[in-house]
Amino acid sequence: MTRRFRPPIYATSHRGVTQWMLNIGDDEQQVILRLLGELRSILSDDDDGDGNVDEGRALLLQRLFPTAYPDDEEKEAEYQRLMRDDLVTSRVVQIDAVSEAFAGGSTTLQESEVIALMQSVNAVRVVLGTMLDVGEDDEIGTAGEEFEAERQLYGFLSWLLDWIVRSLQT
Amino acid sequence: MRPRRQGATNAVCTIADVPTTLEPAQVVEPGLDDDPATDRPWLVLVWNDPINLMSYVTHVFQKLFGYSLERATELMLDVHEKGRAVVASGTREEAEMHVFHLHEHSLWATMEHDT
Repeated sequence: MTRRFRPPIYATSHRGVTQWMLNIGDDEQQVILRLLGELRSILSDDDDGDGNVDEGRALLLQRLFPTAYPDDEEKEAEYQRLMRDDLVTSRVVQIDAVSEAFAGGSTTLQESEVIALMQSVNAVRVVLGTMLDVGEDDEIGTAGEEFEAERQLYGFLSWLLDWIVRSLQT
Repeated sequence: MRPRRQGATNAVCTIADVPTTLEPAQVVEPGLDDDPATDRPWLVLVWNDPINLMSYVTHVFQKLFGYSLERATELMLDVHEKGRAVVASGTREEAEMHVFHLHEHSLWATMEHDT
């Protein structure tokens, strides 16, 4: 007898109300929560209090805070001054929404929680992808090399993100 | 501010007051401080990057800009194949908000003046 595959997340509608069913195990949820906690920590400790950003951390986060005005240093500085804190706050709010939803132990999510999960999972992927130096050919190294655990996590989050997006398209 | 014509008063102007001969018009030449570039719209560009999934980028374009699946897919493929695509345009403030929302979704977005 074959078992029917059930996606890690999918939408269901009942009497015009759509909910999202979360179909991932506790272990996977804990992994996601741990990764989001680490990202939250990196985002919150963005500088050492004197405005000095750790260089390694800045490199990891560079894709989360892209340049808006590549050809204008003055406008870019103004953009970063006005928007960077809002961007950090926005990401932290999303992470907290996911943490709260998972902590409740519920297997159903509302749309806003799914969107928060999507953006947070992708933010972690972006950091991991930067660490792994992911290239155009999707090459993320081979088993046994350095960052093996990060490669596995990157693959898992990519798979999950794709299903999250599919669930929102329905 | 528009300069007041010499001799003008606050009195209501009637047809009888209109001069029968043409006066030389006062032409305001653009000064050096006037920047014609400010009239041009700002373009919001999204650049190709190897990390963001194609399905995710398409979804973000639909969500942020209200594009149909077909249009969003077309733009995503432009980003993927040509390296970048213009996804929106508008005033500087509008473009900045678009860029901010794209950055919230971890997309590599920049803005520049239309040429």
